[in-house]
Amino acid sequence: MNAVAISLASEAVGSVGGFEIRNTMLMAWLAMGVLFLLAFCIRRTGYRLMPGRFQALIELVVSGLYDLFASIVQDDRMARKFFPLTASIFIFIIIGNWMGILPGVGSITIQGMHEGYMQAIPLFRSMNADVNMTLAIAVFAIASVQFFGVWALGFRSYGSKFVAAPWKHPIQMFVGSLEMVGELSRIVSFTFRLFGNIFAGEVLLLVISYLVPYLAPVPFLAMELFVGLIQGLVFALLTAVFLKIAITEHEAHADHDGHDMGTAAPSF
Amino acid sequence: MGDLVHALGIQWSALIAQMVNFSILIFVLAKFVYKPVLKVIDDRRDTIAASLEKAKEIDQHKERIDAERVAILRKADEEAAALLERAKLESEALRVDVEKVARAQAAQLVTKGMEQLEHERASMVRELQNKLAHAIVLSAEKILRREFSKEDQASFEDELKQNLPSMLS
Repeated sequence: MNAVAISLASEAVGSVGGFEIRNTMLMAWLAMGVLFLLAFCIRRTGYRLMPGRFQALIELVVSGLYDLFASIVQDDRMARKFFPLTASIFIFIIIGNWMGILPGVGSITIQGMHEGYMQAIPLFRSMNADVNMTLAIAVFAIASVQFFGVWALGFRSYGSKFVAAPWKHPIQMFVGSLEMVGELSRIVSFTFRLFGNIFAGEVLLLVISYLVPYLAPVPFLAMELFVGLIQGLVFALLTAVFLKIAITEHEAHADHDGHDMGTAAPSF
Repeated sequence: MGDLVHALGIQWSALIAQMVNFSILIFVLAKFVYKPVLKVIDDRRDTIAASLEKAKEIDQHKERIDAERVAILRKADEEAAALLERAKLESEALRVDVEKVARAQAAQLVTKGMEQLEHERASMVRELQNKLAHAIVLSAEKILRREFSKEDQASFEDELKQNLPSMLS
């Protein structure tokens, strides 16, 4: 029986013009391919007022997600702006997570160099078991949060959340610096929550499959399906919550302008 | 820090590539799935709302027509009842008039008949008196075995005619 090899970093399975193609990247492309195929199919059948079964299924998912995110944002117009981002995060993460437990993922290997050694490396690996993927989504999400914050409140108003004149508002300046650290910590928490859960699930499945190859992994596979769903939901919901916070005028600014605090709706 | 980055396998190229991949995914899904699906859901909601509104209008229209129909029927019933009542009254008045005229005509006929009967009876009595007076004169001639002159005959007959009614009563 071969020893179990566990690597935190994803493995390169090839390179094109000096650009390393990693096994997690292959999985991300496969997940994107699946989603593009679905989009192509629904586009081909067309959107009808009287939907068929396939369209009804797509509508069920899209409208369900929209209602969920709209209930968080509580502003239909803004919810429509955020929806592509939050829904894509949710769908991409759960498709990636679920595809990560398909047979062949992790078990189909090729010979390649990894960490200076020639070894058998998996051709496919769950896309979210790579920090590059989770970090990319986290950076994209938090950058979008900042963008929508500036877009909704204006640069000065949104920036005043982080920066204040130390001679006028020393406490505000301190709180602002904490806010800035908080924004960065969101990236870190997003990244490592998703990566940690999925990587831990992979390791768990690998160990269980190594110890008891038959039947024993089945409950853990079911649990990984559930974890994959929950992680996608948590990532997307937190993004929606951060977006809602970003477009809401913060207390200091509202006080300064003599408006209501906290929950004032943005005007465009 | 460098060791951690190396251990986690973080690479700028991979990171940027994944961000680009994710951006493309958002763009494609937004353009070909989210927007059309939300639009068709909105269209359907509008269509359903319009249909419900139309159904409500139709219901209201139907209720209005029903109310008008009931009012028309009620009015027609009332008019028919009034017409019937008027017809009854008119027919009763007509019946009374006709009866009155008939009674008058009948009374007139009876009076006329009575008059005619009286006249006929009187003429019959007169004729009978004449004939009886003539017969009495002829009988008297036979009994007396003599013949009266024309003047006597006429005088006796006139006297008899005058006295006969009192004699017969």
